[in-house]
Amino acid sequence: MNHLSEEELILRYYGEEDAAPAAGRHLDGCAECRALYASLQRVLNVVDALSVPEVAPDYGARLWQRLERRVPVRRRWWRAAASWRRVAAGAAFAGLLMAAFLAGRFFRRPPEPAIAKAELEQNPIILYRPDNRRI
Amino acid sequence: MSSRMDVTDAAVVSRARAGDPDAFRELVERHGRSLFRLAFLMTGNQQDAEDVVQESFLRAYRQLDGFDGRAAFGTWMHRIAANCSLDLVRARRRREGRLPLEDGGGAQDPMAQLPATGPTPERIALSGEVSRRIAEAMDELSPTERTAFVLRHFEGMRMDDVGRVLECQPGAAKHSVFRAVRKLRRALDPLMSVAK
Repeated sequence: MNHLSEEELILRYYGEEDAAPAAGRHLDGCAECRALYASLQRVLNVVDALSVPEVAPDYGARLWQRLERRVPVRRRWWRAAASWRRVAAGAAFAGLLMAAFLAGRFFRRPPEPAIAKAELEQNPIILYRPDNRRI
Repeated sequence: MSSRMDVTDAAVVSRARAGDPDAFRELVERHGRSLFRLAFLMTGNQQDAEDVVQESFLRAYRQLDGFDGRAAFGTWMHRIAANCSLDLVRARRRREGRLPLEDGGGAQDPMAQLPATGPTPERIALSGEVSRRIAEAMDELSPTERTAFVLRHFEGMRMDDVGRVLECQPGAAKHSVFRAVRKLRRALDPLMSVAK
């Protein structure tokens, strides 16, 4: 008669047995395996008695106080996007200013029409005094 | 963890990812206590457990963008804490010059010093003695065995998931649990016999 191995009994204890029906039938009919399984259950059940220190109700809040100093600031995505938009707008404006400056510096003005100068020489400016007499 | 809790966690994680510090604080306050329990079971030391919890949250914060939501946030955090605990215990053992006892031999039997007659099981269970004996027996497990055992026994993880946390095959995870249980039985069975 093949008895169940300790491994099979452990898997059965944790509900992970591969051959559940067969192992169950064997346990029903085998006092030796039942005794071994009972001993395993006792030990594993008593392990649950391992005590864990109680933590204070405000443990989470105190934990956060310690963590807060060490957690790097995470930027909100929309703020990051907004700042990118500002940078892009600033760059575009600076580009326009530079283009306007360069255009003014390098583009030649058209020559003044010669006729306008001749007309000025022929028609001097007439100045009037406050009493409407010509100077 | 209920699905409602998971949904809520997912929403809070989204806010935390977007940079809302209050959201991450909420996650810390929600999961801090259960992570402490896990870390204590794995390290067996209160101060170490607190360090593990802090380190776990810092790791989680750094990796928050990589959290894909396939597992619940709590499960993800427990995996991180298990790995942090494993790292800490391994480092501690290296510092102390204790070789990992991956297989049976060499473990001291803490039950050897038990008196021939003992109190009744009820009295033992009520006293802190059992807890102390269990803690000693747990300390005799290798870091991998202890992690595998805690995840299977206390956290209720299936062997496949234990393997994923330990980054090994499920078969290897099973064998770590088997070795752990065998060592615990060897250490605690005499206590049970004495108590009978």
